Amino acid sequence: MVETARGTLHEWQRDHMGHINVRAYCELFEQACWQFYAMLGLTATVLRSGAVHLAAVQQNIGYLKELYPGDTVAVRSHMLELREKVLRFRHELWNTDTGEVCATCEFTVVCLDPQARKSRAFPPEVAEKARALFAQKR
Amino acid sequence: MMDALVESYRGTVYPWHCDHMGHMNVMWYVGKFDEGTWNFFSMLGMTPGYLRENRRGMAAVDQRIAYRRELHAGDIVTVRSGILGTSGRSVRFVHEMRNAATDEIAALTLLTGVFIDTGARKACALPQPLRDRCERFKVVYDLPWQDCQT
Repeated sequence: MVETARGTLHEWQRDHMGHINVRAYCELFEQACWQFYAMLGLTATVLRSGAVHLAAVQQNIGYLKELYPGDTVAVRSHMLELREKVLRFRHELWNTDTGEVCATCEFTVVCLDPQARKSRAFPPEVAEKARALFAQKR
Repeated sequence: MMDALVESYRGTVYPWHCDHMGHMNVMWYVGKFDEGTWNFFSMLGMTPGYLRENRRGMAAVDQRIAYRRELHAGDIVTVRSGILGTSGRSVRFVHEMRNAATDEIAALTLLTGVFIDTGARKACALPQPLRDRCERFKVVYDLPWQDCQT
């Protein structure tokens, strides 16, 4: 697992149920995605180059604990599977005060050719970076 | 039982909903589905007034989302919703987001929500009148997830 996001929840993310709204959980998971992609070599520069884009096709979220304004949280992530054109990974959102996991999120993402808007193979460096990153962490 | 989904949201994709991939970011699908949820709950009898007066609420415990088509700035969208089932304390429902101009499905989500006592912050029984009303919005929907068919 690698840390991919860290932040604090705010009053304006609380909904009329009194707790942090689902969209705020997804905002943290979303922030974590781009940090995770960058660790795999899919940096802003690479994404801006026009060779590669990414699109989510599936997201499964488990909301395990309520969060409230002021809670300090972090997201840690790990790779589940890397295929030629498909990447699957899992995020865990945890409360840095209590240590509890508050939500989990599994993403399935496809590598796209931005011109053709069709799937393409991930650049070969992605598999190398993934191996290096997760070999160290085991 | 209704045989059709009911409209729970209608809106527009703004440029600030789009990310550097040029399409609406995943977070906003979740946000728009959530706005649909509150409108749909109101149709089910869980109006804002009902929830406030009875100190009741709903909390999501599980959500699956299938992203089917990209949405871009200026696209108009609808969300239509239906009940898949209820149990003692929970409701399973589906939202279908479409591009309102092309009628193509942009995304589907399956949500499980639990009825909560907002004072005790604990799950509590879904009252029979609400369960009866949920029955009226029940649909059969062909979900893309093998392990959670209706």
